[in-house]
This record gives sequence, structure tokens and C-alpha cells, in this order.
Amino acid sequence: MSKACRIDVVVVDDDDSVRWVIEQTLELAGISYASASNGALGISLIEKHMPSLAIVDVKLGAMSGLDVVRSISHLGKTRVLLVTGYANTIEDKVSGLPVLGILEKPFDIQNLLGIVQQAIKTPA
Amino acid sequence: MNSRLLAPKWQEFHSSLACMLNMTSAMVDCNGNLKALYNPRPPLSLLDSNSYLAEEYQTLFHSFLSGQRGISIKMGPLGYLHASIVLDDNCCLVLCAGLERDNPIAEERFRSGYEDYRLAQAMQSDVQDWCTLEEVSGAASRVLTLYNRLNQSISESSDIGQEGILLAALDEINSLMVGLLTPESYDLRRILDLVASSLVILLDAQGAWVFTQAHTRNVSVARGEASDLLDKVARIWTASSPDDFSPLLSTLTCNQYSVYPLSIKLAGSVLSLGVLNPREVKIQPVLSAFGRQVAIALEMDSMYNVLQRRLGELFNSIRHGMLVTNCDGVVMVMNRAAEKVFRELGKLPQLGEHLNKLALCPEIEKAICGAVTGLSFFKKQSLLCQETCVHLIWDVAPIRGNKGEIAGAILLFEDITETLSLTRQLKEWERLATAGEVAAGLAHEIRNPLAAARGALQLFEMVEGEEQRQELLLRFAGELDRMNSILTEYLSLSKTPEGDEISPVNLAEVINDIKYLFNSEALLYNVDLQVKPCGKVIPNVLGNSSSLKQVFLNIGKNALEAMANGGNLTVTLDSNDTHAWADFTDNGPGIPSEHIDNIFRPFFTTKIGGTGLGLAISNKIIKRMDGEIQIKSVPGIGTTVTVVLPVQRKSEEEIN
Repeated sequence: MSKACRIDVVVVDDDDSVRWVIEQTLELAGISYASASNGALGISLIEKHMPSLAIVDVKLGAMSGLDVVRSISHLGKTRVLLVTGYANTIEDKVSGLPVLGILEKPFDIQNLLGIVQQAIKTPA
Repeated sequence: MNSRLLAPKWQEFHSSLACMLNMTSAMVDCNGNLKALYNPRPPLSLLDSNSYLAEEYQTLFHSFLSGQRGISIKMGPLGYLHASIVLDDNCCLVLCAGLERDNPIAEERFRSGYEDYRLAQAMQSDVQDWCTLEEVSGAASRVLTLYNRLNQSISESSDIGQEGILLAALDEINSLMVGLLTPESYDLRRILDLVASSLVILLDAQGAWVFTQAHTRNVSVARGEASDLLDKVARIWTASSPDDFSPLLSTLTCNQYSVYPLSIKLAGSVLSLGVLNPREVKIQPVLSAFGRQVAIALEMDSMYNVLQRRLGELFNSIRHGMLVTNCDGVVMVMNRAAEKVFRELGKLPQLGEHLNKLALCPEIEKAICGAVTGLSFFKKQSLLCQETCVHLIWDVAPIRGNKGEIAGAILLFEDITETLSLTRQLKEWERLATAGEVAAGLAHEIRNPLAAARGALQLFEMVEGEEQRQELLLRFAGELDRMNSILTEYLSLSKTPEGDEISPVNLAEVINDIKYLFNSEALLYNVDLQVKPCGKVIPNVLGNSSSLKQVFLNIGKNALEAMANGGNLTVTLDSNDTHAWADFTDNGPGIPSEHIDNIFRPFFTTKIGGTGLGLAISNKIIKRMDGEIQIKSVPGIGTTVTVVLPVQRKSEEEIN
């Protein structure tokens, strides 16, 4: 991944393993990405690269995935795919936010790739 | 001479008292002159006609007056025992009792008296009474008490006070009479002898009056033809059951025998016969004395009824069950709440029944046996009936009489069956709620490695390089291990306390044991670790040392991790009489106040990659040791986590 390349996706997940799997999947599909292990770093990456999509874990530690979505919602460019262990507690909290969808763990990586590619093809 | 006791209205009283005592009594003024004679019998009745005897008695009265105040007893002319009772400054009462039993001087005097005083031979047959010094002094002292009360009553200005003292005085009459008349002091033959020429009164054994119908308020006195009464009374006397009294009562109420309308209440099951015997049947003054007493007794009786009713209301309005037994464990009183519980159990005791007959509960029965020996039992809990599962929490204590003697036992209890089941249900709900919380946390925790493992497996199919595939397989196995370790931690949350044996633990030693582990970690985090000596001996706490190490390590590690950019961690020990504690104080970023409430919840974490189980487990461990973890935190300043544990008490120390 060269520096000149634009970044299409930012991955924010505090779980090293999950993040690694997502990174590998994106890499295999040839999608450019940047990743962060916490919310604050994630926000700065999104603000910097203005990607089409951010894949954000809901449970992130001190700052939650929803906090990340709220703080980047004004950017207008990036839509968010939330990844979570329990989707039903989050669904009613995302209305009005630029959330593309909620992906429940464990997820099918082909399914993930499909969503990512669709998002890149049809920017907000 | 101006004694109020010599006023005409008291004459009847003195007279009836003398009748009750079955003695002649003489009122003597301060100069030793005989003023009045009550229930006159020889020898005192002979004074008018026998100047020699009168002279002798004058000397006796003088000797009484020159002696000390109060009671003095002397043998008089003819060997009779006389007791003098100084009533006030103006008069004294002289009781003339019988001849002193087993006293040869008395017999000699009596015998020689016929000649000395020129008495008629006929008098010899009149002398029937023999007495002892003790009997005379006993009667005299009772009379003195009675007159003292009366004197008080007369000088009392307020009406209520006067009534009260009069009442007490009448009480005195009552006990005087009971003392004289109960079967214990007279044998049957003697009583029947007396009945032959006397007035019959029915008393119960305790000396209270017995009436048939409280509402008719009639005095229960009868006088009848000697032979008929004798027969009937003898029959009743030998009968044991009080029911046998009824035919007699109807007979007594017949005009044939009664001077006054008669109605008798058989209140108690124990009845005895009392006899009032004025040898001269001078009944009118005696009856009026009775009338007064009975009126008061009736008043008392109705007051007692009111009191009992009120007491009953009070007794029954108490939510707790109350049951009173006598010293033998026989049920005497029980309130409505107690009845309800016993009825539901199908074991309703009857009043007068022995409590042990019910086989209520061995602990309670034992406690009642203990209570009558003076022991008390508080806040005991018993399961009363296996099938219906009635749980009682109860107290048993002795009941003491006026003089401190044990009169019985009281059982006080509360049915806590419902409370217990509610508590159990609450606990179950709490458990379910925690289980739900734990399950949600667990689901989230376990879905991370699941997602990673599933992804790794899918990637394994997609990649081709052998090296990459190997890495994915390693990752896959790693994720499976992670799931396993999460489950292991989860299980330790619900671990039963049996595994941790509680024993005396020296906190300083525990801290010392883990200090090296801390030190190496602290070095990594660039934290300055200090274990501060507190300057005093910390008493041993009750806990489990290996669990405590786990807790302290967890708390210490949390502090170290919170200070990723370095800082200070201080561990301090301190104690008071009941507890000892370890403070872990850091100068890290602190915990936001909104997180403090959730800090012990399983799976609550703000740490990246944290499981949220560390403090939850630590808290559970400390609670199991009857201790507590307290957290004080000021964002920007730091956090103090305190582990408080109960100290080992002295007595426990001795045992250990």
C-alpha cells in the first residue's frame, strides 16, 4: 500500500484479531485502508483521509463506536458500517447518523467485502 | 380521750373483726380503762360482775400501756394469752386469745382461778380455745397492719387516697379471714363443728370472693339450720368437681336457709369453704362489713373485666404471635396472631393444655423449659412444619412476678415464611438479572474471537501461499484459546465459595509476597511503586491469602495500566478495632463519575482489549470474605481503591 494511494476504507476496532481479519480481507480484495485500535485515532484517520467507508466496532473501550460516528457525521463524505457483538441494542440508536449498516459478529467476510465494494462504488 | 377509732361508726367494724378472729377484743383508753368490749366472752365478759377479776385486768391493761408501743403479748388472769395492740396515742386494743397450749403455768392459773376469783363452775365448759404464742402474735400483727391502714385512710384528705387505702385495708381483712378460715388451717371436723352454729361464706382458695352472676351484684351469704347445712356442706366439701356446687346453691337460695337473697358465682375451678363463726350469732355487723367488702370486690371484678377486655384488645392487635405458659409449660394465654398461625398448622393449643402435647417444635419446647429456669432465647429461627414450610422467628423469655420469682414463660414469634420466600424470589431475580448481564457481556466477548476465527477460516480458503495459510491456522487456534480463556474467567465468576478456605491472613505478608511481581510490572509502565509502612501492627484479617493475592494483583495492574505515561502507585495498610484495609492510590487519569457505578459489573470495561471481569471477580472474592472494595476517584488527580476486610477477633484468635 503506497502513500500516494487514496484511502477508501478506515477500520476502527480495538480487538487486534478482528481488526487483522478485516485488514487481510480488504488487502486480498485490493482495497486501500488505514486502521486504528481506538476511537480517537480512528476519528483522526477518517478526518484525514475522508474515506468512502469506515468500518467501526461498536464496543471500543472509553469511546464507543457510536461516539466515533457522531463526531464524523458532519463530514458528509464518510458512511459507517458498524460491527458489533449484539446488534439489537444498537439499531434504534443509529437513526439520523450516517450509518450504512450494522454487521453482527461473527460475520461472513464475503458479505463484508460485498458491502465495502458497494459503498466504494456509490459514494455518498 | 379522743380517738377517732372509738367513734360510734367504728364499733361495728371492731365488733365484726373480733368475730372474724374468734376472740374477744377490748378497747382500752390511755389510762388503762376498759372502754368497749367486742364479741364478749369469758373471761372478759365477766368483768362487770367480778370485781376481783376486773381489778386483775386493770393491772394487766396498765402493764400493757407502760410497755413499748406496737404489740406486746402477756399471759393474763386465768392463764389466757392476751395481745395488746397500741392503735394510737389514745387507745389500745387488747385481744383475748385462748389458753396457751402446753404451758403448765397457764393450766395451773386456769385451775386455781376458780377459787381465786370465785368463778362459777359453769365457766369451765366455756373454755375451749387453746392457742400458741405464734398464732396470737400473728393475728395481732395482722390486726395492727389493718388498723394502721385504717388510720392512714381516715387521716387521708383526698377521697381517692382514702378509697385506695380503705381498699387495701379491706384486702387486709380478706387475708386475715382467709388465713383464719382456709382448710389448710382447719381440719374438716373443725370446720363442720363451726358450721353447726355459724354463717357460711364461700370463698375460693386464693381468698377472692366467689359470685354466681357478676351482673346481679348480689352478696353471697347464707345462714341456715345447722343440721341441714352441715349435711350439704359436708357433701360438697368431699366432692372434687365444682359442678357439684350447683344443687347446693339452689338449695341455699331457697328462703328456708337464706337471710339474704343468694347468688354465687363459681369463677375458679378451685373452691374451698370458708366459715365465719361469731359464736353469738350477731350477724348484722358482720354482714355490713361483708357488704362493704363485696361491693368493692364487685367493683374490682368489673374493673378487672374491663381491664382484661382492654388488655385483650391490645394483646390481639399485636401483629406478632404471643403465647404465655405457666412454669409447667401449660398454655395460659395466647393472642389472635398466635391462634392464626397455630390453626393454619393444624396445631391449635387449648388454654390449659400442655404445649409439649402439640409437638410444635423441639427447639421452642426446650426454650420454654429453659425459660422457667431463668434463661432467655432471642431471634431464633425454626422450621415448624415440613409439609407447609412455616418459618418462625421467635423469642422465649421468663415472666417474673412481683418478687422476681419466675411465674412462667412467654413465647413471642413472627411468621416469616412469606418474607423468606420473597427474599428468595428477589435473590433469584437478582441472580437472573446478573446472569442476563453476564450472558450479554459474554456474548460480546466471545463474538470477537468467533469473528476472528471465522474470518481466518474463510481467508484460509481464499489465500494460496503456504506461509499465509500457516499463519491463518495459528491465528485460528489462537482465537479458539482466547474463547476458552474467556469462558474460564466467566466460570470463575460463578465459582462457589467452598473452594476458598477462610483463615487468618496477615495483610502485610500478602503485599510483601506480590511486591516483586508489582515491581517488575511497575518498571515496564515507568511507575514508581511504594509500599508504605504504616508504623503499627495490622491485626490479621479473615480471608484467603491466595485469593487476596489475586485481588491485589488485579487492582495493582489496573492502576499500572491506567498510568500508561508513568506515575506513582502507593500501597498503604491501616486498621481499626474491627477492620483492616489496604489502600492502592495512584495519580493516574481517574475514573469518570458515570463509570463508577458500573465498575463492578461483569464485562464493564473502558480498557482496550479488557474483559471487564477483573474487578467483578475481585469484588466477588472480597464479598465472600465479608469485606468490601471501595473506590474513590477524582478525574485528573487519581484513584484510590481500598480493600476492607474484617479483622480476626480476640476470641477467634484463641480458638485458632
